[in-house]
Amino acid sequence: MLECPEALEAILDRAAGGLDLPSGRRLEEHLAGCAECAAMAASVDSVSDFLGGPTELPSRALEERLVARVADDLAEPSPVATWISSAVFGLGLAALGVILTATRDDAHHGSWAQLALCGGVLAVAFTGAVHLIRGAVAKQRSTVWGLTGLAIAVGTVLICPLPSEAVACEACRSLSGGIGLRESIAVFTLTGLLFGGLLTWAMQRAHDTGPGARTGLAAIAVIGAVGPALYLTCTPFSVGSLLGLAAGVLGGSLASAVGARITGRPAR
Amino acid sequence: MRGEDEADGELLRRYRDGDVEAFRRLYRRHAGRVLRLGRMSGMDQSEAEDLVQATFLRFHEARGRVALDRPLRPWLVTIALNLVRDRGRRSSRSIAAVGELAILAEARRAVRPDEEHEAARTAERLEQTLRELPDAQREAVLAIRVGGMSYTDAATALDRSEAAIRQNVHRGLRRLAEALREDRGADVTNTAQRRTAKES
Repeated sequence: MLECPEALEAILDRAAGGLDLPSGRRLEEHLAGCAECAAMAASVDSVSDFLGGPTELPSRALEERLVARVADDLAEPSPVATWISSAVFGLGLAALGVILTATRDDAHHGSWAQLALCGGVLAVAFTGAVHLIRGAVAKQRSTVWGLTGLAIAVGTVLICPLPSEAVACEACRSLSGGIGLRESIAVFTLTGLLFGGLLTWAMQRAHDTGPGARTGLAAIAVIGAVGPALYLTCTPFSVGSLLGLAAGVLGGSLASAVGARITGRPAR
Repeated sequence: MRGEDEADGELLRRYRDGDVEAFRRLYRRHAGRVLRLGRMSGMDQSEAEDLVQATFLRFHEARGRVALDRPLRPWLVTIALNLVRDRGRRSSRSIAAVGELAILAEARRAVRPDEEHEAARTAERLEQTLRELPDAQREAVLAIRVGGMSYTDAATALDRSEAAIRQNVHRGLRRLAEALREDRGADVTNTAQRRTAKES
């Protein structure tokens, strides 16, 4: 048989939805023989009913306003506009690569045929990627975005003509002074790592993308940052930045995803 | 067939795929609870609707990160509770404003029939007591009884242990029940006085 203090705890647990059946039966037995506790139980139940009482929807105007806003965000971008904008972007990037290479007067780059192939591949890749990314952003399919970006980054590195020998550009040579090639690569790797980490942190703060999306954006950023450097045949900058940036963002995204799984909270 | 009991996860999946009607159904399923949470936190109707709007816009922005296999309500209630807490930090209502509200409430009561008058007065008394509870107790009561959260979900949302949540809910509910009993005691006394006056 419950005593009154235990009965009060059980009454409050029942109101909060946390009382098991056997305890509930013992409480009922107590309430049947204790007027004071029965009165308290009635009051607690009234309070509980009041708090959890029927809900009414907000005004119809608010619903329509929110639905219109959401519908606007979810709307697919026009296929024609997407194709034109992404094609222009891709061709522009390819042209930049070709111009950068053509203006070099040394021989540390691939042949004109390789450059044309690389530019074409980049243009096609970016056209498709931008199209996919815009659709992915609208639907929040961050994994699609991430995988697309990674595939493009890996493909570009494999296809594009790499320098025939390790060299450093004039700026790197003057900046690194007497340090060697490996040390220069390490410096740029650390710089890339820092930049990648900051990029991940900034995107987490912005709350607008998941780990996959961040990975994808990082991969695109890698191409943007390293692609021209590859053409310019500056090995320390291109290799170091590529490794550091990719490691920073991939590591940050992975840590974010693992942290979200461990804590059970959404990745932010 | 897409019945009324279609799971939140299925609606969320369709909403992520661009189905705006799925969003509308999720909204209709949960907006009332968020609105009530706002009202129970001392907001007027307009402020409570602002809370609903802010909560669902946050949900919209984060739809890609919300788990498909878990109920949506605890997630929304957590967002709403955080917004209520932020609002409380930004602009705690002044004593004078609360006094004005009490005068307005009294004026509204004056034009109601007796039974509505009593129910409204009880509701106002409970709302006032809820507002006067310590923050920890009020938030726990709102999360569990108004938001319909489990102790586990509430502990995660409010960053406290389940034992602390349970204790805060108990204290809060007990204080509210005592306020109700005092109110009803006053009613019984008033009714007895009115009867005595009529008889004499």
